[in-house]
Amino acid sequence: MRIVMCDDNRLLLEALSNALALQGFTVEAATSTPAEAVAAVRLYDPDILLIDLGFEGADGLTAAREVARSHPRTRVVILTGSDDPESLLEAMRIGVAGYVRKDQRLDGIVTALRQAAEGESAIDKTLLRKLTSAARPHSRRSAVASLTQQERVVLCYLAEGLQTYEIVSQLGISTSTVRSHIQAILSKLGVHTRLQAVALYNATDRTPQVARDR
Amino acid sequence: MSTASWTRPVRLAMLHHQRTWAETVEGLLGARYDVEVVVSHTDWNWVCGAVSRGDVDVVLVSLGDGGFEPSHVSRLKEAWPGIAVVVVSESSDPDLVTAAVRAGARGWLSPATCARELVQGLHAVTHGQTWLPPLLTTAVLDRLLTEERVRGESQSSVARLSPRELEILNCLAAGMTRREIGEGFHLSQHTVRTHINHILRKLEVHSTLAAVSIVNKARVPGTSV
Repeated sequence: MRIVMCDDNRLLLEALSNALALQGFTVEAATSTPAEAVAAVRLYDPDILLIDLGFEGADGLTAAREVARSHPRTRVVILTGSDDPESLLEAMRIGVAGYVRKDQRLDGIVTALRQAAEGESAIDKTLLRKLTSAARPHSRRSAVASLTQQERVVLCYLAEGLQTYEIVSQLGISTSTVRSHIQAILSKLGVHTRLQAVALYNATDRTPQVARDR
Repeated sequence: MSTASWTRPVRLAMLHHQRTWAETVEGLLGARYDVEVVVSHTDWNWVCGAVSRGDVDVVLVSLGDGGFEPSHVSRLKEAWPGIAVVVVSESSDPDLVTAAVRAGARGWLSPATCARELVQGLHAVTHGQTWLPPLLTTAVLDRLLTEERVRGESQSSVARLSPRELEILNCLAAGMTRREIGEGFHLSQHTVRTHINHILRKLEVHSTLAAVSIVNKARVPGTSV
């Protein structure tokens, strides 16, 4: 797996690229500004851009947005020391593949990179919970309660990480029905992405339990 | 110390609040011949435990932004005066740097520091050098000198007070009420009030708060008058 890294902490940049190389990753470039990172992504076409959030006079999220727009093949993983829920929310809106914290062990980062490269979402669970618990639990809970039984089942499958086609085969309904269920879920919960819907779902007190077996 | 000891690896303990940093930087330095990482951890007690077992020349501490505080530097220096403390920080706030220097830190490494420079800094501080980025050094010196001047002025104001007045001012600075002071010194409320009026007049201020601020400025940080 080929990676471009970006962090303005030179020591961490050096140490982490060294550690990832030992884990079998190819670090194509270790950059220290978002602008360099975007240029390196264009040059090397890596599988992953691993980028910090806070830079002097610049923002990792801006680079993430730029890469998501102009170079969607490269998946973006945010590596940050901050636990600011706003940044996480913004990163999720951009559609980053992963969001890991610097208090994570190296193993955790390696796992997140592999997940992200395989198209799975690797968002820090603790932060996700924090984000959703901050987001008015009461109205959100009733929003989840307002879903139909079928929509809840679909949301439950989304929470388990199933793709649309997998839900189609699980439920034995058409792709367009699943899509419209998902649209309904997003609009009822007042969110924009599946990830946000799942985050809400995970943070919601789920009683009574949704029957997972049909 | 002889120059031959430059060739001896620096024995290093690292205390960093970010686990990723603590783990990967340990790995990076582990491959070098000029540094021996004794411990690298996120936990204060864990690192202190390792340092207390001996054989550490330098402790590296992360300061600010969710990291540790200058008081941690003081505690390290109190417990092990012979060990050099070096700070790594994302911050370049001169007040934080000044506080760290006053707490006894002898090195400050900015985020732009690479491994080679880190090791250079570590060797320098084990030889009694101070390792601060030049720009920050200017700001830190300015602050220390200004503090020194203000302290001098405040001390000469405080010197005008009688011993009893100084005692009472220190009690006020410690947050005691007039009544408590009266009880403590077996003085009437009236006498306490008279003492305080004298203090205000001698210090040329109009409130006890302003007087307390002067006695605090006269103090060398971390000590009592």
